[in-house]
Amino acid sequence: MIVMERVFAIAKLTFVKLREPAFLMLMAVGACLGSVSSEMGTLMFREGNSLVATLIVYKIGEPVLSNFSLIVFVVFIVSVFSGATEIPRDVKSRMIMLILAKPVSRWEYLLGKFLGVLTMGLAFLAVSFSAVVAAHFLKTGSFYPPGVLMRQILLALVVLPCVAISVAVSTFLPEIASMVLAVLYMIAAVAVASIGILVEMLPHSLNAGGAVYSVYYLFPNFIFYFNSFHPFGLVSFALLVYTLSVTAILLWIAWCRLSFRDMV
Amino acid sequence: MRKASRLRGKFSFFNGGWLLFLVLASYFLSDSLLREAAAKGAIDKGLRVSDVVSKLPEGVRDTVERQIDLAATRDALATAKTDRDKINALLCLGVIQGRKEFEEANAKILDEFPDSPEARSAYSFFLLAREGAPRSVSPERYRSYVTRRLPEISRVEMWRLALRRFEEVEYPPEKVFDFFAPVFERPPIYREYEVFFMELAEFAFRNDSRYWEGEAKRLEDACSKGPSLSDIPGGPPEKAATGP
Repeated sequence: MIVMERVFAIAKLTFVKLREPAFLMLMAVGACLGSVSSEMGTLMFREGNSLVATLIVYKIGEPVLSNFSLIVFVVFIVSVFSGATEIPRDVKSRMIMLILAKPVSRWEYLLGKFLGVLTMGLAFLAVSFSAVVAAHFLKTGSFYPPGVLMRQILLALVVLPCVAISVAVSTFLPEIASMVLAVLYMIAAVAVASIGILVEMLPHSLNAGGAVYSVYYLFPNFIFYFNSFHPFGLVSFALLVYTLSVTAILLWIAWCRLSFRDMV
Repeated sequence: MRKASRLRGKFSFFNGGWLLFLVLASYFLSDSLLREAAAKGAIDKGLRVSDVVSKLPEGVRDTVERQIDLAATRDALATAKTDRDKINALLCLGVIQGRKEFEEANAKILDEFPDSPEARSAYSFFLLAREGAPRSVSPERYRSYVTRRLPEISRVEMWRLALRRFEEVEYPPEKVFDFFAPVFERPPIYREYEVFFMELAEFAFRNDSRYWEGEAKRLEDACSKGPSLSDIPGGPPEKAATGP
């Protein structure tokens, strides 16, 4: 319990630090964006679009709505910019020495940072999602069906690996470089995501998996988050497990790095 | 004290190791499930692997397409339940792989499914096969297979293929007409046989067999006025099924 108190203290410190006017303005922008985009339809792509777009499924179960996807994209940017800069800034300002001089272990510090940035991302998401739901109610006089709403809430899971990637990258590089690398890594993840699904579609005796999967498993698959599915089914449970495990692996890598690096 | 500390270290290592194992297992399992669901959704949506392959550069495309076809046929062979499906998959595999593999596929069909109506390509492939071929089918065995195992609608093509093969290997004409004895004894008067009897008449003419030429022409005329096999409801009576 004491351990978690320390973790939450670091998280609170991170979150409070981020609660500056710029962030509050960003929240306001999120709310506006949510209300303006409340009546956009299902996230789907026309024929002839990129392969990744073609692979996104929107016919089974509950689909992802375009407005919620747009908000998630903004959250992704916010998460990268805050997640990738927190630790390098602490290292640069020597704040990290001050924190680690106290009875706080490095993994507690890392987890605290992750939770702080995550809380910020989820707060932005909560404000924007609420604005969408409220605007939809005001325009149509009805709420979204519970299944559709639940599916959009599950979309928030994508924030966890995004923040974990940003934090993990930031343990290796200075702030600007980690921001750039985090963005590049996520773009690469989107590009590679289709490979795993295509291999799954190939005949099994082709044995095309080996070399392809060794590249595929280096990146989280973001396509999973945007596919349509039943929000209370096996796929949604698998998505939850996938999110938690990917996040844990990325934080484990960050912890390994943080355990062995100099803080000066 | 030091011992206790080391022990604690070991325990924490084991706890950490198990946790990491659990996390990795969860990751791979959930990823596999999600990938399968995504692939199924993409297939339901109408996306085919061939659509993706067609976007590849020309040099790579043919190789990839061939590998995919090969693997798909291997999968079809592995999951085939009926003799018909197995034979079709074997033949497809042979066609994709090349001449030698096609020969081996036909040999396998002949060995494993000698009585199946779908094995007809193997019989025609190995009829009086060249020396050194993995199998050879004698005219007697071929005729017995055609008359006993094939429906009337499939026989005409087999007779034509046999005639063509006899011409290729210059099989003695008297043996050829002996081979076709069941056709003359109980002639199938169907329109599909018209071309066969015409070819047989030409063969007889080229070999100075006036009697067989006349017989073949007579049957050719009869067939041109006869019904089509496809017009007969429920299929034609299997009158030649009791042949030699």
